[in-house]
Amino acid sequence: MSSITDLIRKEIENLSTDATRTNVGTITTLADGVAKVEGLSKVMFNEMVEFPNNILGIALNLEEDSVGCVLLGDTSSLKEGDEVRTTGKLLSVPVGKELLGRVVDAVGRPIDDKGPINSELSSPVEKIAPGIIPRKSVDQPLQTGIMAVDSMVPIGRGQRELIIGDRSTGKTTIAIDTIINQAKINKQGEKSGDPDFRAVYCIYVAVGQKNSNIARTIKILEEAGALEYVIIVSAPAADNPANQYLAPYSGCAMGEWFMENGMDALIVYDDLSKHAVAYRQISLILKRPSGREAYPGDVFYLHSRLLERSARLNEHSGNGSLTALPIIETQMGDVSGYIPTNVISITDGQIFLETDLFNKGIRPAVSVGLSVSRVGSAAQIKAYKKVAGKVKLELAQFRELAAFSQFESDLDASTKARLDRGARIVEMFKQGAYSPIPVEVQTAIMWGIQNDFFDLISVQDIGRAVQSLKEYLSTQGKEACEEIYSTGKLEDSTVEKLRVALEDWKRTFA
Amino acid sequence: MPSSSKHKILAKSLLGLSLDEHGHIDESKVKEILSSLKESKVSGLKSLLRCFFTEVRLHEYTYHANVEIGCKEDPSITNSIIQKIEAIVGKNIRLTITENPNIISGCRIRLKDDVYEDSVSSRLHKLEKSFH
Repeated sequence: MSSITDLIRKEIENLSTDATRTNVGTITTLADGVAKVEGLSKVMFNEMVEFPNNILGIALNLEEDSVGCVLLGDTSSLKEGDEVRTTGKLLSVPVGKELLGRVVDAVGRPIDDKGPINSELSSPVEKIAPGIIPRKSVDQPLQTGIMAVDSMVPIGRGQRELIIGDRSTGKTTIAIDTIINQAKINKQGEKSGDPDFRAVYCIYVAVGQKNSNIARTIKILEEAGALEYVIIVSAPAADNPANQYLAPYSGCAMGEWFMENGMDALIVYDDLSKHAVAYRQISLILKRPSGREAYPGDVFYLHSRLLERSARLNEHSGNGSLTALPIIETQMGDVSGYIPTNVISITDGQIFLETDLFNKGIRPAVSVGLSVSRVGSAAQIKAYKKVAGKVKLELAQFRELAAFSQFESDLDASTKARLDRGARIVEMFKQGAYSPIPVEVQTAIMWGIQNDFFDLISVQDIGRAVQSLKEYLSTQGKEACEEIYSTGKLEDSTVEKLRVALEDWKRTFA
Repeated sequence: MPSSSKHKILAKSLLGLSLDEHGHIDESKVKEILSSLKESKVSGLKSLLRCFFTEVRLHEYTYHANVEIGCKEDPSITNSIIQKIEAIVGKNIRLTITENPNIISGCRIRLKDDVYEDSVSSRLHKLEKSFH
């Protein structure tokens, strides 16, 4: 008891006795999570303001005689005439490794019933993106564990790769698979004790989603043992638009901490269409002039300033990286919508998912023609580049030929061979959700298909064959895969070991 | 020029006409202005009146200090507060002094949109915040 009284006495002694000066204002109107405040003449743009009952807000509109503030809490207790105070602080969120494995709201408060977050560090939510000098080209791969993605649209650490498609086409699944794969690689790397191993920490930002969907995602990550490497920032559909607007920036600040401290991080924004809608809502209530589709004029800047914060830093700046996987939902496959085109132009490529492919059972439903990675191929490991280099072209040729072959009854031998190879590649790329494949196994499978090991297997059996080969490579054919994993190259000796292993597997596969 | 900007300029002129020789708002002058505006039937009267209202309110904030004290009003304390405020602001300001038991002891002065406070309640509030 005496220690508590001593503590309080000490706190009282430490308090300054000088008069304080606070800039205040009065609420004049209050609607839909936005308050118009008269006064606050010294408030800064994006400054946190304090409303009664410890409710926080952010000053977003600084007008001649009033200030527009978005509120970050329950507004039911507020009323017109209430006093609002400036705090002199920009909105900050806790950052650091203490947040890993936790679920937080848009301002970094824990919402997972696992107690307080013991992070002593905090970082402002809005920050200027790294400039030209501290940056470096993307040169390290970020393996998603999805064969169709890693081979055709490879992603590098520090890249911004958009995942775009209609509703229910598997956008979130690709992001979750990537996170699960990072966790698997992290565990493998930590187990190996390799001092050069660089773990990838993940941040998943859920904007405007159903609470049930977020709960399901958490469960999947938990079951896959990936949650310990993930921070989840949740701003569900039931949250006010201010929180939905802020969540991606908060998540980015958390990811930036890893990057600035020489580590690698991956951030998923699920999704930025809903983020733009939340921002439109705030802007309309703040009476900002609206433009196309009623979005405000700065909706491009909203996403560009967020995605520009993802970068690969050079050695002088700590060698860290922040990779971004923003998600955009299209309407009826229309990629020429306002927000999709904005984000396509900001990012370094996109993975386009097609509803038709998804319905045909080709999952992940990656569209070969519309998906592209502008920088990722520079980051692919040599072994994988060697075997996957021609796949995209082969698949594109297959799609073209398949369309023409519908009208042709008599096909020449080379066309028939291309069609056969294409059909097998399509089958090989079919992959179940939440089951990423390690890069060395992917390399072996791809090498197998390039070297005609699957040619005598019927197209319907390819899926079963791939599964059987995966199992074989994790037991008997382990040696070749381990060599690919450690060297990252396909040396002649490795190729020989692969040949022996695959011939052996082929004999056993009925 | 948009009509709202015109109204703002006009409202500023109307405010100038409403002031007495000390720079305070004269109630009779305001009444006179309002009745003449009503008679003239100018377009956008509602918007003009709103701008005028804002100007009057801002002026009131600038030339008016609201002092809350935690104990009973003492003329010597009041005079010293007035002198100090005038020394800082350098204006002929109007003062409203009210008793507010919520601040326990000390005083709280609101001048325009700044609040100067040295009271027991503010110290307790600071202490409460330091525990979080």
